[in-house]
Amino acid sequence: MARFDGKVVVVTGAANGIGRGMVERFLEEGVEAVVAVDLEETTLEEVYGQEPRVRRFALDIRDFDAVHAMVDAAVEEFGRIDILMNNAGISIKDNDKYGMLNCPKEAWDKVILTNVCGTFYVAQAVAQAMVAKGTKGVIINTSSNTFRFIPKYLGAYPASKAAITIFTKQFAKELAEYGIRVNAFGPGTVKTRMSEPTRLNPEMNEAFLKALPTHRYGEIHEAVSLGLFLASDEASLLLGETVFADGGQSL
Amino acid sequence: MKSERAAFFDEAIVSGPGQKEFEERIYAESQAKHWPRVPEGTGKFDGQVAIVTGAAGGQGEIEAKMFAQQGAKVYMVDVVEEGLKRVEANILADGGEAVAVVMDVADEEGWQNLVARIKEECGRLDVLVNNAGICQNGSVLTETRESLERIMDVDCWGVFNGMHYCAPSIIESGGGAIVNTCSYQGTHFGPGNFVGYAMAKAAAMGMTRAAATDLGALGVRVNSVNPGLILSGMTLPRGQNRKGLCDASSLKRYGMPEEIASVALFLASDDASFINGEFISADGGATTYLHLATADKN
Repeated sequence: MARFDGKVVVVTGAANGIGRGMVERFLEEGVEAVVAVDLEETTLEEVYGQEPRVRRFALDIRDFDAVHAMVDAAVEEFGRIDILMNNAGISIKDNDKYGMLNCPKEAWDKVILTNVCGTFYVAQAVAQAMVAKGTKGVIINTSSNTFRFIPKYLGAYPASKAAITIFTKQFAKELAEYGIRVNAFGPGTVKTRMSEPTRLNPEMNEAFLKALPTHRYGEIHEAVSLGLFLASDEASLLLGETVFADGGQSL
Repeated sequence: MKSERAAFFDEAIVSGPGQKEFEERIYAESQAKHWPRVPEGTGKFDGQVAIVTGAAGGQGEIEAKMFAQQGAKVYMVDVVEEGLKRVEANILADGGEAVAVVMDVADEEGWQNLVARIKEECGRLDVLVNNAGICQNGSVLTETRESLERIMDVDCWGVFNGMHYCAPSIIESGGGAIVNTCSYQGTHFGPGNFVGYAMAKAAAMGMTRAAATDLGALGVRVNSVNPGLILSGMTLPRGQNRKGLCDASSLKRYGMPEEIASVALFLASDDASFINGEFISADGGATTYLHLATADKN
């Protein structure tokens, strides 16, 4: 028996990186269906067009109504949502352009609206569906280790991820009575599009790797295996936690 | 049929108004759920050698059994010979590989002998789970340096000894993982009257962090699982108000040893290959409550 036999899973930010890795692992581990959410239908179709167990939803998680429409459609088709991997998020990095001194209002607001508000909209909408259907489900939010060691010039990103860690605890405490577990995980710097500004700049890349205790970036599968551990029964006693997998980056 | 654990629980029930009914209800609720089992036969630890301390009961017993189920040869350390032999017999009967080692984790010579023996018998060592621990009541007013010696020996020096003597073998084997067992009481307000436990666990947390830094670059990941209130020999006979402690966790129930063992096995496995220097609280949300200090009085 696989760990996720018969589960209905929603993954946001599903077209790339960690989100895509999660969908692939869930499909290997027995799920009934994955609702794959991302911004562009074209990329979603490219990745999942041939996979009968995946339903694609192109939407921006900042759009409250679109988020609810997606959750309603998923519940209508599958009867429930068992697991939410609330993974979509954005970061900004361009040398010191997004430092606290000069970070443009638009850039600050966009990160907060996506990472804090969008993540909340999805978590709340799915939590409401779980309570309505009596599903003893699991919600895993995606935080980050950046709010522990505060790298420079990341604009609102570290603060937005700290907010996710805190409202993960609020959700966990308030949803425990419904049998819903809410936790978060904090990947370190993983080989995804998000870390490209660092990885593709030879100077930054070298300095960054030198400073890391393990002198390497995280692999996507390493973030995915932590996320899926948290979503499984193996983590049945974890509640309101943020578990970090960053190779000791923030030690 | 009543399980072994249920009988154990019955025996340890403390008297008090409503306590027995409460304990029975909590136990029934704890049993009603299906507990995590690392899927059998996936062989996550095939060919590996693991040491689990405090393996004669509770979490350590389940950890040893889960490692064996997953293909590891397990050296089980404890001072309780009878329990250790029972667990060893269980594992062997299930077709697993286990070796009972009656030894005090505070005994440095014992560790040296154990590591030498494993080197001779297996030629490698991959995982160390420092799970052995004891707990005692006492406040800063009542404890003395002398009265704290034993708990510091086991909960603090036992962890240090394990890491100190095993790390070279794990490095030699090409890297591996150490999982310590710390506690929220090392960093958070506890239920009170546990100064020895709090200071020993805080020390264990400090050395976990330091070891993660020092050994991480050498291929040995060091992490900790921090259990909350678990149904085990440590929490049962203490006579504290366990209803208050249960109420302090969001799940309103005891955790089961299986729910700690599954976290320890995850941390020891390749699934956690990028996790180093972390403390994972598996406590049903107890540490999201800041009023834990008053839980005892509920």
